[in-house]
Amino acid sequence: MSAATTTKAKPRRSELADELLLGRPTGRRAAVDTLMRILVWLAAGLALAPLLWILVTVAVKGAPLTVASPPDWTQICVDTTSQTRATTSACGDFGGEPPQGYQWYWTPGGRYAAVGTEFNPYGSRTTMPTGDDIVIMAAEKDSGGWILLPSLQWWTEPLGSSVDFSPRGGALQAIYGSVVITLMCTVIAVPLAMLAAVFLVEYARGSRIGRAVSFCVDILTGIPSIVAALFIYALFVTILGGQRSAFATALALAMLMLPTVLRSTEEMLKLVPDSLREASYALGVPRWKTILSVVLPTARTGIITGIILGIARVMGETAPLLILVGYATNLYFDPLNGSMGSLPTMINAHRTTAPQFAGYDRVWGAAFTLILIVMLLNLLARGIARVSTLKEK
Amino acid sequence: MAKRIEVTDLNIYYGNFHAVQDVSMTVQPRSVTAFIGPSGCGKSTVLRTLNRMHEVIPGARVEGKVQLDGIDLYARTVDPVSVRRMVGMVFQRPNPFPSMSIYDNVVAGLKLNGIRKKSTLDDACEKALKGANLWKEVKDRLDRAGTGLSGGQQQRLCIARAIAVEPQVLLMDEPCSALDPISTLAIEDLIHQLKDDYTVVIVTHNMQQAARVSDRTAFFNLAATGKPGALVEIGDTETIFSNPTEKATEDYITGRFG
Amino acid sequence: MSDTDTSPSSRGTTVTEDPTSTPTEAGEGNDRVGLVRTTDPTPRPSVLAGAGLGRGPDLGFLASSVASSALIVLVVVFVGVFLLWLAVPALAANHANFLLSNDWNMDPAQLSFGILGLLWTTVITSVIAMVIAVPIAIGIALLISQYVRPRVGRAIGFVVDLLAAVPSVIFGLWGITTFAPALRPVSAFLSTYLGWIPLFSPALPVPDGSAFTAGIVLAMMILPIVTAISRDVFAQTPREEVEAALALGATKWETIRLAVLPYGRSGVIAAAMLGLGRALGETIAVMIILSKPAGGPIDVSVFAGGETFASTIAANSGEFDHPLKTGAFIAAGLVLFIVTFVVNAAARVIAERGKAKA
Repeated sequence: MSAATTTKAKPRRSELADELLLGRPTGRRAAVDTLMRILVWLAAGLALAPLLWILVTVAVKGAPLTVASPPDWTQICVDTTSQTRATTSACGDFGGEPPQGYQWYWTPGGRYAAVGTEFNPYGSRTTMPTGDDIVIMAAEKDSGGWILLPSLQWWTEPLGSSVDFSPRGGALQAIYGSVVITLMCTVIAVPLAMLAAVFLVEYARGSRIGRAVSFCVDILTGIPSIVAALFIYALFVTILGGQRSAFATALALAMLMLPTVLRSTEEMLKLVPDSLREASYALGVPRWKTILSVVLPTARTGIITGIILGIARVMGETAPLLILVGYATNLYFDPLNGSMGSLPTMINAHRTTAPQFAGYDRVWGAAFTLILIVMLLNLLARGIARVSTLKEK
Repeated sequence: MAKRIEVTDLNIYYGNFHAVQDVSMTVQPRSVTAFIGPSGCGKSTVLRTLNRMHEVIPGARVEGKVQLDGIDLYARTVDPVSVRRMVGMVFQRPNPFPSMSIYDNVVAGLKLNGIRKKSTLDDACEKALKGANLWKEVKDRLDRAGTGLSGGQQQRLCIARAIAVEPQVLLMDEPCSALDPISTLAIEDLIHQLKDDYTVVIVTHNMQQAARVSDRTAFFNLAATGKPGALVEIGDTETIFSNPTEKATEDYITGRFG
Repeated sequence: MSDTDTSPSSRGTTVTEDPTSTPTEAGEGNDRVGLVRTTDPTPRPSVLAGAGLGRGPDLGFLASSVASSALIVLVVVFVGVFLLWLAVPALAANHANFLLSNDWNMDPAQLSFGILGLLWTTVITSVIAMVIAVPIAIGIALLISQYVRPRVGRAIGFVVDLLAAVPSVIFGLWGITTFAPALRPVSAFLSTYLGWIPLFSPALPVPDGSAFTAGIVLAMMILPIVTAISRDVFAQTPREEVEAALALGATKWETIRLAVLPYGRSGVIAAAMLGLGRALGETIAVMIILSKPAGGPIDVSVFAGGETFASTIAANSGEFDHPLKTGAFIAAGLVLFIVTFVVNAAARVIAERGKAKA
């Protein structure tokens, strides 16, 4: 191959020499590159905008109630003349009107605080009730929102018999229920999903059985939550005679969680190079140990992502909960029998509440709690993954 | 085609770590220069600075000059993408694009540069594959996946891909270390042929290969562990291997270390 | 030591002489720094089978993974049977054409129901969701794994993952109260200027409960799944392939096109299918947002209301007193079942076809 034949006049030769001097690649390629860069950033912005909008909405509306609560108004009995709290037994006669525009109320810890106008669920009053043992006073939601006092009531107390407009009560039963149900569901779904993914990738890749199983997983992906719930109801409750319970719900939710975990695990396992497996076999490591100690840890990040995504989805599902475990306002512990509260059903129960009542805030509070729990789980999982990864530097 | 490379006072840093110090050399056009030396002394690092591939690693930077026929590759106005067009590279492990056929692999670089005409691409593909001594073996299955070839064939495919765009310089980073002796021989023969049209710089662990293949040889070494790598000696291959100037070179050649 | 050392252990690692092999700029998801892929990514059964099935734990492990897969298949089969068992009697008693009519008369004596309207609404909302979400998700995934520093990428990814945690009820609530009103100008704009296309003709007086709104909200719901899996897949692109593209003088985008996207193709399709599954099956959010249609002929506009398979079953779950009525709704669920696997099967075929033959 002599030099002569290779320098067949290709006009781009001098162009390229100039290119090197000027340092810019040909206009079109640079333009495309820049365009793509812009598009990618645009995509992120476009997606992050409504996303942040929702997150901010939930946080702003929901966070306050989780760290504070309106004062407990049904236990107040105040002598408005002296502005001291009267003991319950001494409640009774109140002479005179409350000071105009103010109500005093008792706060946990013994401080008094002043509030805007009086709120009374039984109708508006301008005078203090006389002869009542309990004075109903509450912090009304003025334009700034509930007057809130720091309290962990949200986390430590179940809703109990509080009604929509009562600011008393927390979400303990819902938090407990959600956590327990999700935990059960995860314990059922994740091992199943991972084992099946291992089967699909390590043992049956490309075979007909593998394709058939994969096909079934595809179908499972599209089952609506309501159908999964009805199915478990029919199978577990009606036919097998089980109880409507947290456990039944966990079964239905596991059906929903499984495809997500399975597919991400599968994709991550497929990306692990064969050379890794070979290296392990060459050391005499048996197959099952190779999978457990070499392949799975390599795919760890992606698998964790799949699990977190699955948990996130399942924690927010409402339909199966409604059908299989109902809604409870008291704290129940039995996962095999009877209803249990949960955050999504709590949201559902209160979602038609008008904004001036506590129930409205509970909806957003529950949403915020859900996101918070998932976020913490996410951080925990990533933290564990990071700590157990060997440092490289 | 085939330009001269001049390296002047090249120092390479990864972040704060001083990897290679004070390299100066000239590579003549249409010659084969081999970089030899023990592991970890900077041969590949220096090679990668010749086409600015080291910039893939965050924190990597160079001081000094690398000039291609007088044009400084590291001038502020020079875009690394253009540099890599001019200076091709073949890697230690063959890396054809797995999603593409043999044909698509070879013409990938051409397509990137906007050449679309099928006839031009066909000609270029044939020429490159012939140049890489692969044409006869694959001419009937150009539409098959590139990954279906043997290791040696894949490496020749990568060479074909690199020369299809007719670069000024061809860099080869231990191209035969993952191949069997027969394929290695084939590649070495290929390098002899490529020499007619390209400037070739090859990093190799195999001294005998350097002796077989190159016109000039550069020996790199570490002063001590933890110190930066440096160019100890560069000269005609025959001289280096029979009568080196530096003691370190002689020790390495005769196998006292490395 | 300087001889050609072709023993497997040295071949299995990257350039050992480079003292500073560090993770690629492509992202931090690469646990496997230092180990690169062999040349042949297509599964070679000999490697996998060649390890042999030992006794004891090996068999036990295989058995449990087979059992899990079998369980999944069983569940799916049972669900199918369940749906059929409930649906068939209703279908038999159906007076109207199931697939083509839009009636919905639940009187057991004159049962007549057709799912055409449901099918349309389900499809259109899911299509809108996919068309919006998948490109954006790929864009974000590329941004996280290829364009920004690892730390920034992790932060963005974290926020996107948070979105996955928002319960569907909240999406419904937020969608109908906050988002839909904000969307009105957009709907108005589209229906004014594109209204001559039946797809975009104005339908509802106030387009809050339209398929358009529901579709966009669905897009937001499926975005995290598609993004998260795609970004993990892109981050695993082997450094070799990226370098091969770079060494040819490819720009950033061209490198992505040559190395990252083809590598991630299978993963992205899987992610998209998961997203689609979610969109098709989403119940509560859609139920809250969509306004019920009046019945009658289907309005093909995206700005019309409607019901999806899932939302109609949920909304009417209180009325499952008569087996025939239940069966009618379940029959709707059955169609969804079928739609899902047709789409998934199609996606698999596309994924397979894209690979060049070895």
